[in-house]
Amino acid sequence: MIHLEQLSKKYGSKVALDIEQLDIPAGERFGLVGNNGAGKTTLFSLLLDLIRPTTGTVWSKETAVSNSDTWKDYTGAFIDESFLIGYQTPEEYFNFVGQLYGMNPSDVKLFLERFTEFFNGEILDSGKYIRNMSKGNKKKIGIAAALLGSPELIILDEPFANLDPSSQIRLKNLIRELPPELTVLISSHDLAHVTEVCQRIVLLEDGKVIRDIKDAPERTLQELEAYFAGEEPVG
Amino acid sequence: MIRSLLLQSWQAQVRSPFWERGLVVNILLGLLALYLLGNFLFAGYFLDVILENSVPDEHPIAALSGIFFFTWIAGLLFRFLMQSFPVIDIQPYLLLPVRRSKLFHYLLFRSAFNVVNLFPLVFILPFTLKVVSTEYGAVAQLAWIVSVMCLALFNNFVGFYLKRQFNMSPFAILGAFLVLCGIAYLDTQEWLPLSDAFGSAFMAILANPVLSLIPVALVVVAYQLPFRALRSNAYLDTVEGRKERVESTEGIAALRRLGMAGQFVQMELLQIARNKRPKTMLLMAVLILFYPFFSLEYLENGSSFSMVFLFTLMATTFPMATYGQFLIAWESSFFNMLMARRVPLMEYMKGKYYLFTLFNVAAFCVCLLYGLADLRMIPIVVVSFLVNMGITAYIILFLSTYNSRPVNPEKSAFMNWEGVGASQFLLVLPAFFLPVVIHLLLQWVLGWQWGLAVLGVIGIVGILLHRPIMQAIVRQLGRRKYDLIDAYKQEV
Repeated sequence: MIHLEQLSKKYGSKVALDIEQLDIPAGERFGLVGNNGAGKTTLFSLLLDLIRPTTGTVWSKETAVSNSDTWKDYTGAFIDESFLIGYQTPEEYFNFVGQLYGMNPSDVKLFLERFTEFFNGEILDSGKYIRNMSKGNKKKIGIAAALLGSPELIILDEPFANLDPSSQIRLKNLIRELPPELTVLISSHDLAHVTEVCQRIVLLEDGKVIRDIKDAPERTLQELEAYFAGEEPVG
Repeated sequence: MIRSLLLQSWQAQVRSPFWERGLVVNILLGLLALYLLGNFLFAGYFLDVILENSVPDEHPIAALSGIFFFTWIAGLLFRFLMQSFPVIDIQPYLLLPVRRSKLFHYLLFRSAFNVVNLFPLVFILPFTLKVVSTEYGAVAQLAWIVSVMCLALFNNFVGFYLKRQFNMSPFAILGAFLVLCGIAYLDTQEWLPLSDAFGSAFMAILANPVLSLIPVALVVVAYQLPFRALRSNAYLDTVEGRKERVESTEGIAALRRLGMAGQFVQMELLQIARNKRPKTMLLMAVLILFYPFFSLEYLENGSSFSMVFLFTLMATTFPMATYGQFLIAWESSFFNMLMARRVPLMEYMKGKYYLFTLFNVAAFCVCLLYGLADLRMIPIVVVSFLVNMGITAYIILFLSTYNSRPVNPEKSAFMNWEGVGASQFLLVLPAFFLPVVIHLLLQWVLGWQWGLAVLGVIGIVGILLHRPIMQAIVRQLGRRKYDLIDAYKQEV
């Protein structure tokens, strides 16, 4: 699904990201962890062609993302509040995004039904503009909108942050229930959540991939906790 | 205490990111401010001459005092519409051991130094020095200035109070506006000679300066209104007023037929309706539509058709230019989303062009009424429309890809330089002056009709070349995209 090679991003002399090679096959649940400034958001922004790489190319389904817009047809994303239109109501926003993917308001309404529990009655028919909503509710709107238009790839930056505990659990269930062929990229500071929903965890430090843990769910959390506590990895 | 609060708000001003812009832009803005200030001082200095010419049978001071009545009630309406109470500024202090009433005194006290309040001073100071003090002496002059300033301060405090007490519905605003027009009409017909009464009151103050204590007392009373209202509802949520429930719109059916571009027009319209700054800017643009009225005399004596064309072009281009100077920057807060989701850039830019079409057609229809005054206005208005649609609209679209400063449309429009950069200055030349210069040259060589005809043809060619021009603009947006994303990362 995603293939990148010799991808680097430098701001002046500071290296924000430097990845030799990374492949993300279709249907993978991919978790990205790392401390602040490790390059998580930089990587996601490069995948979405929001910033230009210093070297290298991002390939999405064998097409370079900077050369063509076809990846936009099957990619949903929520990075931060710059993906929300503050002066719209949630309904207007969902309808607008839906329209980008050829969905009419009744399609959108049908689509949103599965978020009823996640939204907890605070999003739809709230009588508020998005700009006046809480951070947690904004996040919920962004996540739901990322899933609009039956994407094959979704990219969520820090989806668990700012959500209340119930919503975090509901979000985990929601991600688990996504169709298996959907590729999901998640970054998170919450090691427990991200290891629960992702089969593969990539650990970034100073822009470099320093761990790439696949298919070892029972050991992953331990290993990550040891790393972030500053200990040497076990084994 | 109030002193240290004032000091902190001064620091907030001095340290604001507003100053962290390019030196050239700061100098240009400074020059513009000086120019405007100079204009007002100049107008103030010659106010007596202006008044003598326009109201020859009345003494300048009396005439001006009469006019104060109108500026006073219009000022009150303006404040009711525009002014908002900056309660949020005291939020950080609410937890500190400062008495609430002190904080409210501070807020009200600070509001007195608003530019709007100080503005009359710039205007009347030269006038009083020239006319009032020579005729009535320094004490009377001081009393007179104090009285005029009291009018502004009275409006300031009563404006806050009214704003807190009444919800602003469009009907209420229209109603208030009609009542004011009614009062003005009654006054001009001398059925209700309020402005004369105002004038004699001010003359009385000149004759007996002690009377200026009356306006001072009025301000003291007016101050009590918002202060008491604040003190009795001393919690932030009640101070700010209740948030009304908003309903989602279904959208306009006619725009749906334009496809995705229509959706973008709809978005822009919501953007205008729900954000303070673009709304105010476009309201100003409506006022500018009266501009050509002042050029009609050029047409009557046939002196300069280019001048008439300039005035008409300014009026009809202004809505598009004022909104268009931040065309992409308005969307800076969600520009990432527009670039990362499946937004067809062609439809996105077309939406903006259609919005301009809407503005232009509206301005065209209004300005066509000038044809009633002089038939020759009709070709001028038609050519202005063609120039706007075929040249200026594209230039604005193109320059919008250089909107490299984020804008927060929720903020007030008044004295707000946020987002102003080189692209705004660049815009003025091709939008207003280039067509006029072309016309001037052609008028000189061939005659005014030919000037209009050539510009009209250029406009039509521009409209016919819509597709290739739009494609070039979209390619340009594709190239500028990364720079814009990077620029909008800075917090507004």
